[in-house]
Amino acid sequence: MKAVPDTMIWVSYCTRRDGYRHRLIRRACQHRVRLYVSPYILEELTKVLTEDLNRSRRFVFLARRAVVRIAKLVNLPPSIRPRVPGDPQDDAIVQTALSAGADYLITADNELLELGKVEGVAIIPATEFEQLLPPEDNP
Amino acid sequence: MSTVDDIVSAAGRLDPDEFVLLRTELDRLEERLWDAELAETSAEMDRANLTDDEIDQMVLRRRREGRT
Repeated sequence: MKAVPDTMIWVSYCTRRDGYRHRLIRRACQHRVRLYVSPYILEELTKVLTEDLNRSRRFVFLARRAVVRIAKLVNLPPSIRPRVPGDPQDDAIVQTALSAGADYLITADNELLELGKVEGVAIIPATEFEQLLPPEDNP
Repeated sequence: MSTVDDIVSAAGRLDPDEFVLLRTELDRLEERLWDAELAETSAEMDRANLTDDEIDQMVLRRRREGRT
């Protein structure tokens, strides 16, 4: 299974170690889900960490490196076909999933979720993605 | 010469096996640094009661602002 977590999933992953999304990403890795990220998503991650959450340059550097340790970096084509009506900012997110050949795009962006599916990529919330993973082992 | 320059200079003199060993150790060090940074930031965000919903709003606000 291949999946692209949207930027907000990565921001949560990098700032809330005991949070639901951090655990979800770790579970996905444990179950050999192949995760992908693009320079566009990394740039959004950087801006939120730096400008909204006031993280240091060192933190942001380490956070980006932590993401690319578990997610394969895919480059986007120079020209991105519009797929989200009226919202070109979202096109790069969808293109990340298409360029990765992903099965799933995991997001909390309602405008993306409303698309449902784009060229074989199912756009789903984190809770739905969780249902696709095997149950957590009980201690 | 800075400490970094000294380290890079010494790394340049390593044989390939030693260089791989150095990279492995640096990767481990980086992961330990990240674990410490993540723990510290997570504690700070917990104290500030930061939620996933608020994170969503930060990301989405930037996207919607970028439209105009």
